[in-house]
Formats: sequence, C-alpha cells, structure tokens
Amino acid sequence: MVTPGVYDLAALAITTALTNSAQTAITGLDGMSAANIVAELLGGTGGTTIVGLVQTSVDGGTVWLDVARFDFNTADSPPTAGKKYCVLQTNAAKAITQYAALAAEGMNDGLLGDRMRAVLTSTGTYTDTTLSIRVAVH
Amino acid sequence: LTAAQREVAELDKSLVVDGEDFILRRVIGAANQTNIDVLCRGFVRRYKAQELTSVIIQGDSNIIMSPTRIIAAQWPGGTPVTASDAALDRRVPRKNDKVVLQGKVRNIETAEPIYIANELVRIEIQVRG
Repeated sequence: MVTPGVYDLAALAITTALTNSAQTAITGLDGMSAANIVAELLGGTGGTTIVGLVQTSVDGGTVWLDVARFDFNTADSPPTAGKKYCVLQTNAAKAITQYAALAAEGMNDGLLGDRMRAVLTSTGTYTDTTLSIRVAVH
Repeated sequence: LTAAQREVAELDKSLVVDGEDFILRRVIGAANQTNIDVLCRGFVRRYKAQELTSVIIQGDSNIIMSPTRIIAAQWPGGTPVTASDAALDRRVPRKNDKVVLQGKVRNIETAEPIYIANELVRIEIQVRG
C-alpha cells in the first residue's frame, strides 16, 4: 500500500437530484486490511433522500462492487443522525458468499480491492447541504 | 530517474531543509462546510515592492511547493467524474482554495503548475490574507 491514511471519497454540496454520480476513485490501496468509512451529512435541509454508496474494484476499475451503503432521509437531521460509520476488514477468513448489490444501510464486509470510490444518488432538492464520505485505510 | 523525478526529488530535499509546513485546504459547501486538507511544505516569501501589480498587492505571499504530498494524499479526493472541470489537473489548487500558514487562513488567488515532460513537478501559489 502506498500510503495508509485518511482519504476523501466524496465531499460535495448536494442541491438538485443526483443519479449515480460517480466520484473519481482513490487508488493505490493494494494491501489494505481494513477500512473505516465515515459518512457525514451537514445541513440536510429540504430534499428527500441521499444514498452514498462506497464501492471497490478488483479488476482495475472495470467492474465496481458495493461494499457499504449509507442512506440519509429527511428524518436524519444532523448532527445526531447525520454521521454514520462502518468498518470493513479482511483479517478473518470469510465463507464463500454470493455477491449482491447493497440495500439500504448494507455492507459487504471482507471485500476490499485496491481502490475505492463513492457513487451518490439523491432525490429532491436540498439547500445548504453538504455530504462528506471519508475512509481511513489501514 | 527522469528529469521530472529528479526535479521533484531535489525540490523535496531542499524543502525539508528550508521550507515550512502549511495546510492546503479546499472548502466544500456554503452554509454547512467541510474541509479537505492536506499537509504540505513550501517556500514562503512576501512579494517585494517592485513585484506589486494590480493583481499582486501588498501583503500577498508566494509559495513554491512540491506536488509530492498532494499526490500521496490523493488530494482533493473523489470529485465528480462528469464535472465541467474534470479535464483539468485536479491536483492543482484553485482560486479560493485556502492555505493555513502560521495559524492564519489565507486565500489562494492563483496557482501555477509547472510540468516537465508532462509530469507535475512544482506548483507556485499566490496567497492573500
């Protein structure tokens, strides 16, 4: 791994609806054994839903696989419900598992490639709202 | 080593000896903001009186920095693939990004990338504040 540390997978102001808005990938993460992902919604005025999907790839970015999904809706008023986190680890052996795209607040633990990215979808129109998704790579 | 790699290595070496640390910051959002920070090192100097123009004013500073830490941190992180400025070199700071230098937040007025053989080897920044 080039540099263990904290990387920003996404940080942007949410206004009009987004449909599967892919962010550029953080690469060079080969060798990571764990990832702590923190998604934070700031503001959250207006709008309806925001989905922050975190993905990884094991084929150089051709196919992206879901690893964590953070769902925010109008009930998630920051800062109490506006910050969510999860931990992905590859330290323990995993049973063979059928891959499936993630539903709300889901995660595919143990699935970490050499790169990660965020894909954002939102409905409704938000004002004064910022979404941040950071990953601490170990 | 290529000429570009040599250039960066020499700049990094001299920055270790003579440079100073500062935080390069992109602020995201208006009313509710989040910062994307990276710790950098650069040569900082005030512009001399004879260098002042209509766009370089008294109090502005010039920072010469290496891209090494920006590249290592992959700053500014993930940005929309389809953004209107996606074709620009996103490693280069933009106007209105910030520099936190000696405890003071300063505004970036311009950032000039320097390339050798298409490789980013140095960034010169004009900061105000």
